[in-house]
Amino acid sequence: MEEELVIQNVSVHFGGLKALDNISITCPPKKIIGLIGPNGAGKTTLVSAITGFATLASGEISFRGKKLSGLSPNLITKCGIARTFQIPIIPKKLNVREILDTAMAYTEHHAKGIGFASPEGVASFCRMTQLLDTECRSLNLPQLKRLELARVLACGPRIILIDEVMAGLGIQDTQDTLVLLQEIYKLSVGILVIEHVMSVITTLCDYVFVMSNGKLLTEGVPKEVLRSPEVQKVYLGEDISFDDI
Amino acid sequence: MMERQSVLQMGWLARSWVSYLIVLLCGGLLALYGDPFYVQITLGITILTILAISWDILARTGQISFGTAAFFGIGAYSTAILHVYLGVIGSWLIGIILAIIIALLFGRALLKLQGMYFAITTFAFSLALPVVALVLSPITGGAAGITPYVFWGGNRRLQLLMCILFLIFAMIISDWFLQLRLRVAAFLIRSHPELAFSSGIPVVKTKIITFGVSGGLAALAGALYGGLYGFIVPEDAFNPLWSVLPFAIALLGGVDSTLGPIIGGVVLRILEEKTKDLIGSYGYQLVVGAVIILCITLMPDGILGLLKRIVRQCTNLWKKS
Repeated sequence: MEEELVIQNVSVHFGGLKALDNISITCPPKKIIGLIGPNGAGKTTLVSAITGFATLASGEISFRGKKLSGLSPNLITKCGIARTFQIPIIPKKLNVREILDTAMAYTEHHAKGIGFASPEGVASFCRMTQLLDTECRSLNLPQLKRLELARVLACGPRIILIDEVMAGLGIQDTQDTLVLLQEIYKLSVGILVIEHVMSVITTLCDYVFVMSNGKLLTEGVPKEVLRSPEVQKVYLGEDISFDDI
Repeated sequence: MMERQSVLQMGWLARSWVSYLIVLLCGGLLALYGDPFYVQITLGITILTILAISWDILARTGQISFGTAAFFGIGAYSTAILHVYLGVIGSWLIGIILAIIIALLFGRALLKLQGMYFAITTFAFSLALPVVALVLSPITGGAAGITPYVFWGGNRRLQLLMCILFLIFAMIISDWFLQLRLRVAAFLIRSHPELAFSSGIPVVKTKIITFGVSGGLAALAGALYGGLYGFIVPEDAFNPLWSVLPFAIALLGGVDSTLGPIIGGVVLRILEEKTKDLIGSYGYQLVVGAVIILCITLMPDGILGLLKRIVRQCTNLWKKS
């Protein structure tokens, strides 16, 4: 199996806090991969480390054989790794078209399946055509989260890192986002999802990594991993299992 | 790879040529037929406006400079010093390229600084340079000053025509940086750097390049200034006013635009002259200062912003009726 995204012995320190503690992960290509763990486990820090926002204290990250560590975030985006932000960053004054167009202008088109040649293409794929000329200040939360997805697609990515894109969404919006993610996956774009909603992980992901305290706890197929006693322990405490909830 | 649709290309030029024409006509008519007094004032306005445009280009990326005087002075001095060796055109080319190189290096060094830290460092730089000019007196003439080449033998009308042409050149550069994608990119770099990075915008490169371009334009203004009067001294060429005025003019006229600095420059100078007439040469600065404070508090988007709002309201009324 070709190794796509390889994270080797990576540590990230914030002062005395070891946000990532010597973690190694190898993501298989062309899969929907889940990244779960309790709050403070270091999931978002891992995304920041991959995309060049966090400085590595040690270790190395490579993507399709190319070393990423040390590159600036915009170059990493250009390599085909696009991330969303947990809390959508909202440029209130800009409209959807401007954001998508800028992301397109400054990146290269990696994914074979995506024929997005224009902001309109991405917008219609994400079902936000009618919002193209809307300023971000008048978008609601589901629309902003949708815009984050559209923006990473506009970057023409090989893999997208989705950081809690469904947090705070209602049932219908979550369902729509799930469908959209599956459609993106069909375009042969790799997906790494951080998510707290376990049903999303089990329906969406082929493979899942569990993090705790900056370390990799375990990995495997979602259903099996969620059954494992150590995962249930870090999430829920000693005596409860996911089946009880 | 599918070819991407490009949204802008030369559209910006098609939109802005009217403003170039207006500046050329007004400036040209004034230069040819205007009262010598107004020719003199307009000369000052063009130089200040080029400087304010240079400040604005940099400010669009969030780099609020208090040191335009540094590059203004560098431009004035480098062209004056090199004139002896390279002639007029050579000294201007090399002098301004030199200023751009210094600006690129300085911009690179200041990358990590933001907001007031950035502002005060640029200000310190502009305060340090006159000292350098004094110390290097064998080259710069020290406190006794230096005599640059005077354009058109001191003919103010021809000098104004030349300044107007360079102002239009500065406007074209400014408008190039305002074309849709660069405007959005600069806005993201200024207000949402993480989003800029993760949209693939080369944040670092863009910041350094704008610093270089801004420094080059400020140096151009300085070179013009030297060429008008044929005599510069350190405390004049590096006068902190050359740092403060562009800032004030851009805020007064409207930031993030090409026309804003021009409107601001014209309004400020007219205001200055009128109040000087009314109040006399001692108290007038007080009134000018008060008017600037009032304008900036009441019109956060500057005069240009106010004009745009009025036009929008009028068109809305027009549509309704």
